[in-house]
Amino acid sequence: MKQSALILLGILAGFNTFSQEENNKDIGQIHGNVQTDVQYYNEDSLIGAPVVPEKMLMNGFANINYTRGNFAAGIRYESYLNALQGFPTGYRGSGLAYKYASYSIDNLEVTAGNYYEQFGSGMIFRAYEERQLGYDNAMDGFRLKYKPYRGVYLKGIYGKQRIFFTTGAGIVRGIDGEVVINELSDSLEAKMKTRIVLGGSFVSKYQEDDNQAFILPENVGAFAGRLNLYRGGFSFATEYVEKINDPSADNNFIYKKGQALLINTAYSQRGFGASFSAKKIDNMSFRSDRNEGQTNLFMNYLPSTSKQHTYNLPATLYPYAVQPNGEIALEGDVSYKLARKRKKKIQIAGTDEFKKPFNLRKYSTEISLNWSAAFAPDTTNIRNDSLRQGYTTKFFTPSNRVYFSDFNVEIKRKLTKDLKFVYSFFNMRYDKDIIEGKTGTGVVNARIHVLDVTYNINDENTIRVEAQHLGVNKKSNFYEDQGNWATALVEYTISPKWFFAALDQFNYGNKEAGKRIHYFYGSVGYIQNANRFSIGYGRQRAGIFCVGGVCRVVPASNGLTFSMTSTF
Amino acid sequence: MKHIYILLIAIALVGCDKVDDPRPSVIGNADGICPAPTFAQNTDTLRNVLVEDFTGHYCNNCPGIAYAIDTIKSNMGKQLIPIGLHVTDQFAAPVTAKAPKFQTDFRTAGGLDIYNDLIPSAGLPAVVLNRKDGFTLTPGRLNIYNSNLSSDIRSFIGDSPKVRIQTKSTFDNTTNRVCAYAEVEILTPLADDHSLVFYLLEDSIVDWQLYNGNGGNPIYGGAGDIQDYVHKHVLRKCMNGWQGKKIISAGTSAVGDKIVEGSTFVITDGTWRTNHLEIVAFVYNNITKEVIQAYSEKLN
Repeated sequence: MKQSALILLGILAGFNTFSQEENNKDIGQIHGNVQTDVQYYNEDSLIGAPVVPEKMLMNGFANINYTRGNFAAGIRYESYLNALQGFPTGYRGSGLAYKYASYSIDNLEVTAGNYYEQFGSGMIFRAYEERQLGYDNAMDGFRLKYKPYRGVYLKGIYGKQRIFFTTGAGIVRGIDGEVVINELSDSLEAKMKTRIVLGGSFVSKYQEDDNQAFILPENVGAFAGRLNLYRGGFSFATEYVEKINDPSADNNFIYKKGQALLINTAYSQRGFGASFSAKKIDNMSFRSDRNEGQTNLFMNYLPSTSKQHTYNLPATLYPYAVQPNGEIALEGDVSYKLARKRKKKIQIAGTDEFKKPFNLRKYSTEISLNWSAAFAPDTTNIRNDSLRQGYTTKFFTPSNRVYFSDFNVEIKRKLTKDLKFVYSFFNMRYDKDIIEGKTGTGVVNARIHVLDVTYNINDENTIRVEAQHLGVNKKSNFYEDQGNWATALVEYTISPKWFFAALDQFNYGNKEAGKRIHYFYGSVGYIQNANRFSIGYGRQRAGIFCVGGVCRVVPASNGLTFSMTSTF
Repeated sequence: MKHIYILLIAIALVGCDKVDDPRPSVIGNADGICPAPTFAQNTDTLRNVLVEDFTGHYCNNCPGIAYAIDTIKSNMGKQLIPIGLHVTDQFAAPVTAKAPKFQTDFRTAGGLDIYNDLIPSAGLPAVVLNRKDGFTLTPGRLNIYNSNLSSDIRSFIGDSPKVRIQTKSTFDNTTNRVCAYAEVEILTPLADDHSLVFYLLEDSIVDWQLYNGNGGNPIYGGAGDIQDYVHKHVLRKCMNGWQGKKIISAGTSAVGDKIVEGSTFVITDGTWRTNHLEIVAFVYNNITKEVIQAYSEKLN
């Protein structure tokens, strides 16, 4: 790894030397960014913060990219000394985690080294990075992208996937084709009002059969077909994926095929938008190492059909994690904007005089409604299952078990030129046993209110206040978990350089009196052009952090955090 | 485009292995290595109870259930056949932070496979009785409610066996070879496939054990980190694979048929005390997984 770093840096240095000699020539550009997160941990057994022997931990990332014309190359250097609490402990040490070179010529793009890629919605294949989750399943190998004919797009991938600072046991290969019907000819382009995109993929993995107990398939393939339609404000997208027998630690080594179907529709016009999604997943964990767990070496991405929240309590206490072994999920979303109402003059009867202008809606109001739910599929376990098929299920039939549901309303209103508020209400139902893989907990029903008020003091100074309350349903059929929470946040921004924030989360409703704890956290940030620094100190409660239905558990911590990002 | 379709089909064909029957063929057989013994007439009339106790040296609740099993065995004698299977990283891996305590790894690959097959992801201690469904704590797992241990074991006592098993096994001190043979006699026509399994156990290994003292335990010496804990009937090796060898095909056996099968294994680990070895042989239904008869024999 060190050798390849030196070679790449040598190449980049070579270009630099070249530029000094021949200033007039295009010698390309070097861009990059750096991020470091350092945390000092205090012991705090009251909140269950794990003891950190190193006292201080650091994650660091540096991207350096070189581009010249149709050529690009780059590296990413990463350090985990050691990894921050909550990140997978497999990240340990420093090294070149990502390196690539690519060029494009005559409708062909070739990439050698690491790359991220996605076929369709990602349900059959997606290699991507989500740094906050510690998720990175980048490919290491070759990728070709080719456009053989107008409107026809082909991709081919071959390689292994990243796991920490090495690659996984399996070899991944796949091909994806997409045809944009409208682009096939000038006449279609001109005549067709509906944009039609057809696509298909095939992905396969190879992993040696190292199991004496079963005859395992060494080559596991999956195929997918998709259709996207767009017309005016209307859109429709669907994809179906099927995977052959893929016994793995995730599915307890059953040989049942996997299936997934995703349907997304949306309509929008000025001031109004609506969308609806439906999804079925059955036995669709697809990893390049059948023995892996956690979020390691997933080859595919199963999209979440629940709204990703940003406010602290709804976002981190009960967010939904997609269940790769099976779920049926629905989501509906409607948003409507009440337009500004113009001032009206009302004449007083029998006179030439007018009343004071009637002006209820000087500013617009936005209302959004969102509902989503995920159900367990209706399955029947197979008895006498010598072929290890596990269970049977009907294609789109949910059972009565609700894994998760979320109804939420958001109202955004500007009261004056400088004052606006957002009010949100969430009613969540959360099956903790299933989503967090626990036993003996139950279903939590949480109702959350959030009021977010922003006041622009002047062009430079802004104050924002958030008040949040989470109340759990205490009826006997629900699990109280940690009980009620209240959160208050004050944020003061001096544009464009400074921001200050203070946050207190109070678990006042915990059944155990000793755990009715305040989690106070304060932070200061400074932005200077391309550099951003922030320092925070205080307690952070344990929670779950999710991005797009992929989650990691964040343990409680108490200490000092320093973050820096810089781009060049 | 035609070429693209051909390419796609070609990749699809090479990229998929469809497995119709996941069960592997026979692993391990004593034929040709160990001489087959001669068996006397078997007159057993009782169905024995195979007790698979999934445990670990760092499982603080486990000694309590082991003690309960031991107590029941002292009353039932040979009809109860306990096996201690040390499984999971959490409870059975060496505990680095506690070194030099808890450094012995009693786990086996076969034991883990059995755990994953019978009680995937279950917490410990977990007990499975004759791998019978119906006592189960959780759907999809065969472990019983631990509080029902005694009554669930008693429920087997009056059962008649569908097969009889007897074993004749030897250990050769010079070659460290274990030879195990079993004779299985059919007493009832069997409609499903059945397999025969040989396990090699080491009994009464003295080593560290964590215990919370909740099981009532006069001989183990109280709670905490117990240095001289006696680990009984510890699974050391699944001699013919954890799934064993199919010996009866569905509908082909007749009452009175006798099947003799063997398996062999050479011990290479010098820490095993070869004067504490046991052979457990049992026959199970390949479809329902239920153990229809089991038999244990001490070597030496």
